[in-house]
Amino acid sequence: MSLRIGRLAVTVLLILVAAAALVVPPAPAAEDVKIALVAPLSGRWARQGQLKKMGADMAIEEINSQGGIKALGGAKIVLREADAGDSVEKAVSAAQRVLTREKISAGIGSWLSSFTLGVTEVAERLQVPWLTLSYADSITERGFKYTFQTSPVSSVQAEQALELVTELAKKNNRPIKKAAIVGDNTAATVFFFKPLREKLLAAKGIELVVDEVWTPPLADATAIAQKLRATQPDIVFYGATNFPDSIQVLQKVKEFSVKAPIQGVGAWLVTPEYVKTLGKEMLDSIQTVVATHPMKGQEEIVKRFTQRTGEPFMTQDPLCTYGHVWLIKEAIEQAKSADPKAIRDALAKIDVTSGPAATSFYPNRIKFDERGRRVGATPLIVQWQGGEPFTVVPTAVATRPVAWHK
Amino acid sequence: MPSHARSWLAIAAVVAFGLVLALVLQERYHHRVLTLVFLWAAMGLAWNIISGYAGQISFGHQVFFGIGAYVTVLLVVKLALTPWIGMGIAVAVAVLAALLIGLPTFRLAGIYFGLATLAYPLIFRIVMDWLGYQEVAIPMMRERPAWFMQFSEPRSFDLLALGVLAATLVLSRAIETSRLGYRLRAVKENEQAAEAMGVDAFRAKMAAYVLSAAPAAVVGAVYIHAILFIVTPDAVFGLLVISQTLVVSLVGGIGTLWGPLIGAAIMVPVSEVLDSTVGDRLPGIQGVVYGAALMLIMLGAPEGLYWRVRQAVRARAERRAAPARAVTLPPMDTTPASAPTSTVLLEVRDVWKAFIGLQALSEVSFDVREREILGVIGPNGAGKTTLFNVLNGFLLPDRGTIRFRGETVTGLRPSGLCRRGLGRTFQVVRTFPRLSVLENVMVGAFVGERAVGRARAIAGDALSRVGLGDRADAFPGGLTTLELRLMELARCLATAPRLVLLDEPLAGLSTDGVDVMIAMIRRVRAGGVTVVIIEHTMQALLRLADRLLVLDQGRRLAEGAPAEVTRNPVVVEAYLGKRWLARMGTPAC
Repeated sequence: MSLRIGRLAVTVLLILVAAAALVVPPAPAAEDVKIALVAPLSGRWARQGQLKKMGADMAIEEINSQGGIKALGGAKIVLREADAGDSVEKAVSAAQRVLTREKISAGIGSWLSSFTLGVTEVAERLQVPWLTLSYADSITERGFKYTFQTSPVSSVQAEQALELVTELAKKNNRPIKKAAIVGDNTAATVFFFKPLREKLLAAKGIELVVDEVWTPPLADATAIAQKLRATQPDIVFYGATNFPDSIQVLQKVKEFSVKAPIQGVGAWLVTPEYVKTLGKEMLDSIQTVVATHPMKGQEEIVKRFTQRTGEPFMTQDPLCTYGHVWLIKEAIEQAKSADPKAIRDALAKIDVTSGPAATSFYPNRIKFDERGRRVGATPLIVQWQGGEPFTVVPTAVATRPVAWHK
Repeated sequence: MPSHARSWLAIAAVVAFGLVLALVLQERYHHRVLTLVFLWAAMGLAWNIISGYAGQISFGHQVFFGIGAYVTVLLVVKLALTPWIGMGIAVAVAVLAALLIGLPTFRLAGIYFGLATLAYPLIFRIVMDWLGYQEVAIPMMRERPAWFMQFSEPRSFDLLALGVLAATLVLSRAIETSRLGYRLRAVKENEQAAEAMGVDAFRAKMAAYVLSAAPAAVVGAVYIHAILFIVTPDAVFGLLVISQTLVVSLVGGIGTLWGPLIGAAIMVPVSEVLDSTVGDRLPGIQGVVYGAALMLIMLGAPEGLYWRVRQAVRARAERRAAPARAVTLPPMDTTPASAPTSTVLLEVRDVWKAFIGLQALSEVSFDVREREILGVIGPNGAGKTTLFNVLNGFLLPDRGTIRFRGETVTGLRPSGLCRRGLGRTFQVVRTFPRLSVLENVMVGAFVGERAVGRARAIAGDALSRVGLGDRADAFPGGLTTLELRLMELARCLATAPRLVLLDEPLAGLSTDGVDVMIAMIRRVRAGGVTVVIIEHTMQALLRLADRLLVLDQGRRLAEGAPAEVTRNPVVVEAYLGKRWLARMGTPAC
C-alpha cells in the first residue's frame, strides 16, 4: 500500500517536473519591456481571464511586429501572466509574485473588482502603474496614485445608462414609466442597482414595480417571470452575472411571454455561450450596458481577433486589455523609459484621442483625472442582433442601428 | 515536569525558527508565503481548540474569522479606528457571537452540531450583502501606516502573524495542560462518562468555543491587513477559509497543537509553489496537483502526520515495554469501618419513568443509609439501570423526587450530582480511550481540584488504592477487564464521592477477579463511602450487601436483609417462576 503510494507520488512528481520543463518560456532579451497580466486563468472565471489574455497577446504581437517601442530603440513587449485563480488571496499572491520576481513596467487586471481592489494595493505599494477595466467606485476612491481605471465607474454607469435608455425609448415613442430591477447580489450588480433604486429612477419619474434580488444560485425563476408578466414594466434592468441563473431567467421570461425589453447591466450578457445555449432568436433585441465594445472603425481589429482566436466576436474583456496594452505602449513612448514610476507619471499626464488605445474606449479619448479615472468615460449599449452583439448606442460609434422592441 | 518543559521549549524553538525565517527571507513574495503559513497555522490551531480538543467538529468556524475581518475593517473605514484597538473589539464581538451561536447549537451532538455550524457563515454572508458590504477596501493611510497596520516592509507582517501564531500556540498549550483540556478530551472521548465524572459538558464545550473564536477573529483581522487588503463576504465567510483551515489541521493531525502547525508548514508552501511554478504556465494544474498531494497524505496518514509519526515512534518504544501482570491489592492500612448508620443519605420517593409505551419504573421508593452497601437485584429488564440513570441524572423521572444529603436533586445534570458527591460506574466500562489510565482518573479528580498537579496526585493515590499504581501510564485499550473495572472505580473515587452507584461491577470477571472486586468494594465502604450496587451474581451480592432492594417490571418487589429477601416467595417467583417455587418449597439461594 505505502509502496504504491510512494510510486504514485514519484509519478506525479515526474509529470510535474516534465510539465514545468516543457513550458519554460524563452528568456527575454535584455531590453524587453515586461508587463504583467493578473487575471483568473483557472477556476470559475477562467474564461474571462483567457479572453483578456487573447486581447493582450494580440496587442503585443501588433506592437512588436510594428517595430516595438520606438522611444526605447524598438524594445519588444513581453507579457508575464499570473493566474489570479478564484479567490482574492490567490489574486493578491499572484500579483505579489509577478511584480517582485522581475522588473515589471506596468500591469493589467484583474477582471473581478474584488480581485482588482486587492491587486492594486500591491501595485501601489510596489509603485507599478496598473490599468483595470473593473467598474467599482472604490478602486479609485482610496487615493491611489498608480491605479488607472478606463471604465466608467458603477455609480456613473447607472446614471449614464439610464440616460441612454430613456432617450432611446423616447425616440421610439415608448417612454419608460415603469421599471423592474432583477438581479443577483454580487458586488458589480449591487453597485449598479443601488443608485437606480435610491434616486435615479425617481428623478426620472419612473416607478419601480419589481425589485427582485437573489444570492446565486437562483432556485427558481418562475416567480420573477410571473411578477414581470403581471406588472408589465417598460424596461427590466437585469443583472444575473451567474450564467446558469441568467439562462434560467431568460428562458422563464420567454416562457411567460414577458414583453418588457431587457436591459442588462454588464458585459457578462454578451458572451458566445449565450448563443450556444439560448439560440439567436431568443437573444434578439436583448441589450446590455458595457464599459466598451468594438465600435465603428474597429472592424479591422475585430476581424484580426476572430481570425486568430476562433472566437465568433470580440467583446469588452479582450478589447479592454487590447486597449490597455496599447495605452501602456503610448505611455512608455511618452516617458521614453521602461521605469514604472516614469510610466505612471506619463499615464497621469497622457491625453490621446487617436490610435488603437484611444479608439478602444468611448469616447475616444484617454485622459485620467487625479483619482485615476478616465475623464468622460461613458458606457455603451450593446444589443444582440442575429446572434451577435453590436454596439447600438451612442449612434456616433454604433455598428448597427438599434432594434427597439415591438 | 520534564515533558512540560520540553513542550514550552519546542514552542520557543518554533517561534525562534519563524523569526529567523522572517529575517533571512528576501523576496517579498516569500514573506507573503511565510505570513500565510503563520496565519493558517494559527487559524488551524483556533479551530483545533473546539474541534480537536473538544471534538465538536465546526464546519462554520470562518464565521469568527469573518467577524474579526469585518469588524476591524469597518471600524477603520467608518471611524478611522486603528485595527490594533479594532482587533480587541472584534475579539469581543466574536466571543459574544460564539456564546450566541453555542447556546442553541451545543444542544446538538456529533455531526448535527457540525452541520448546524455550516449555517452561521451563510447567514453572515447574506447579512453583509444586505448591508451593502460586498467589497470593503481598507483606505490607505499614508500618514501613520504602522498605526493602521499598513506596513510597507513585508517583515512587519511576518512578525505580526508570528506573534498571533505564538499566542495561539501558548493558548493551545495552556488549554492542553489545564483542567479544561483534560475535561474537553474526556467530553470528546465519551460525553456521558465525562458528565458522570462531574464534567459539565455544555460549559466545557462553550468555554472551548469561546477560546477558539477569539484567536480566529484575530487571525481574520490580521489576514485582511496583511494578505487581502479588502474584505468581501466570499473571501472571509466563504468555503475557501474553512477548507484551508481543515486542510492544514487534518493533514497535520487534530487534537494536538503541533498538527495545524505541521499542516500549514507543508500545505501552504506546496500550494504557493505549485501556483508559482506550474500554475502560471498551465493555469488550473496547480489545483489538480494540490488535490492529489492532499489525497496521498490522507491515504498514507488519515489521522494526520503528527499522529502517524508519533505512532511510529511509540511502536518502536513499546516493543521493549513490559508485559501485563496480575493485579494485586495493596495491603489494607485501616481496619474495616463500622456498620451502616441510620442517617438517610439518599431518599427516593415515588419515582416513575416511562419510555414511549414501556413503563420502566413505577412508584419506586426506598432509602439508602449512610455507609451501607445496598444491592439492587431483579431479573433482566426490571429497570435497574434505568433506576441508576434516573438517580445520577442521565434521565429525568416523569414523577417523583430524589433527595441526596437532604437536598432535592431531581432534574440536576449528572455533572451537578457528581459534584455533590454522587458517583457512578457503568455496566459496560466507559473509558476515555486516548487518555492514559492516570489521565482517565484525573478527570474525576478535577471535580474537587482545579490545579493539574494536585489532581494528578489525587489520581495517582486513587490508582494505588485500587492496585493500579504501576499501570498509570498505560492506555485503557491495553487493560484487562478487571483492570478496567478498577480504573473506573478509581476514577469514580477520585471525585471524592459520598455515595457510589456501581452498575454490575462484577460482570465479566473471573472468580479471582470477583474476589478482588468484592474486597475492593468493601474497602470503599470502609473508607466511609456508601455503595449502591446492581448485580446479577446473587452469590456475590449475598456476601457483599447489607440490604437488598428487589425490582421487578419497574416496581419495588421487596426490600430488606439479604437472607430475608431471598426467602421471600414473591422474589423467588419473579426470578425463577411459579413452578419452581411450587417444586422447591423453600428457595435455595
